[in-house]
Amino acid sequence: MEIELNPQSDAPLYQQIRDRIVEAIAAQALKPGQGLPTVRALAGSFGINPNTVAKAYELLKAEGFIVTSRGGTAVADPMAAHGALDENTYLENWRARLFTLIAEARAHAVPAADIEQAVALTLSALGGPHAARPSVVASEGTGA
Amino acid sequence: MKWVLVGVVLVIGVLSAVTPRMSRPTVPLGVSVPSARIGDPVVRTSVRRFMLGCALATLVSFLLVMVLPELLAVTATLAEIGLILVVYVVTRRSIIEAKQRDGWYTDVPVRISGSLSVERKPVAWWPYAVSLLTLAGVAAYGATRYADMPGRVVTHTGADGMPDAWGSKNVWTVFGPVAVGVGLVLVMALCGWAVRRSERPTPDGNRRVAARRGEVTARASERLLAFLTFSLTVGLSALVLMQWHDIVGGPVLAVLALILAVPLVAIAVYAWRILRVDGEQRAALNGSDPSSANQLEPETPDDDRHWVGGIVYNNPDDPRVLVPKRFGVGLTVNYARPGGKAFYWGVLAVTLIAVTLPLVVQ
Repeated sequence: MEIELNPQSDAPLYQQIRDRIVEAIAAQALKPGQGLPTVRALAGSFGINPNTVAKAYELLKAEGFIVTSRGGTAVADPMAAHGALDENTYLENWRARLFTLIAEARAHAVPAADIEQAVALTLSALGGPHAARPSVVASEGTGA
Repeated sequence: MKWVLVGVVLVIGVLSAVTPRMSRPTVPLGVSVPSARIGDPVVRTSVRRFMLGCALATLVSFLLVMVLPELLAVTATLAEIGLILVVYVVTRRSIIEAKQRDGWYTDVPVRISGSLSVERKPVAWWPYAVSLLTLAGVAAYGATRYADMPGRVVTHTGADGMPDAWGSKNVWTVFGPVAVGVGLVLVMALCGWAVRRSERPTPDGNRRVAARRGEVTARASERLLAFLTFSLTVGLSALVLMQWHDIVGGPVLAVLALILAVPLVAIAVYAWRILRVDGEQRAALNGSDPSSANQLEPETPDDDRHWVGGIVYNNPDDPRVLVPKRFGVGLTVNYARPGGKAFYWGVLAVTLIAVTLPLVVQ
């Protein structure tokens, strides 16, 4: 599958690579256990410095989205532990980021209905059905 | 000899003149431009001037071939390449100036693309395997006849198809051409592998047509390489067998003519295929293709800074040694990589030796 990066964006390239891979995992375009290109191959594919890809992979690994072994890099099983972060820490961080994102929208006077619609559209774009952790389902609606 | 040089001069001229149409439309004369600018009067005029310059350089070189003594006539081809390079540098300058002056990339969305897929379409190795088997068959046949061959064997055949050099019979003088053929097949197989690996889609203002162009070009290049490998193998095998059977003159000339003509026809078919897909892409980018009209898609970034003169790729950040060419089709090397440096200096050394050695020997 192809992903695109915006070299004019304020977001650094490694962050964009990380975001595109997370989106691909969420949309199930990348499945648990599926192999990813080597750092050098992906860097060559974009024509960018391998350090940039290595940084993105390190971030993804620390967040538990990918795992590395002798066989290479692969998408992690979402039911397995989230790398360096434990489950509660991950959810806590995620809710905090979501809170900030929604707060930003409210600060820009985006109506609540528009925010809800944007969330619904995002979930719809990511497709389904997804395997869900019991803890995530149970904690839905509790807010940040 | 002179007529062969005339042919070479004509082929160089024609290939150079059609190169702008063989290249991606968004890099006219090796300069990055947004797809909305491919029909800009500055771009059109520059490309027209370049083609006219190629025609003039070819004419000058043709006259040089006819006027110069045979030994110096080879330099006419170098003069032609030099003249075309000068024309190229001069004509592309107006596009660069217009782009900078009018800010062609201001507010134009750009993207770079990459692939997360690990699997790649495998290279079709069978034409190379068949070529190697053909050469193995010829070598096996030669081995059975080796003992019956005379003590002195032909080592070179002149342009009239008659032998003009002989040497003592040994493994190299008998099987040398077959070994060269094996080397040729392996190099061509390596090129086929590199072409397959270098395939990379690009935004280029319209993802669909850009991806189609990439796919068609890669497939056509692979087929051309495979066909050239097999046809050259067959031609070389025929020459070797004729040499072993003391067949000289007309039949040798006929095979030599085929060895020259068949690749030229194959290259012409290849060029036609690329020109056709180029026409499709230009039509889509100009909006004349209804299925892609009014599409607002990102462009490939302006990466002129990585291309010296639009021809030599020099990007220390890019780990690739082989990258798709910008002016023309096929691959070029990244000068910033150690392998790239070795390639450029190696080619320069071989060219200098090939040009100066005959003059020194004379």
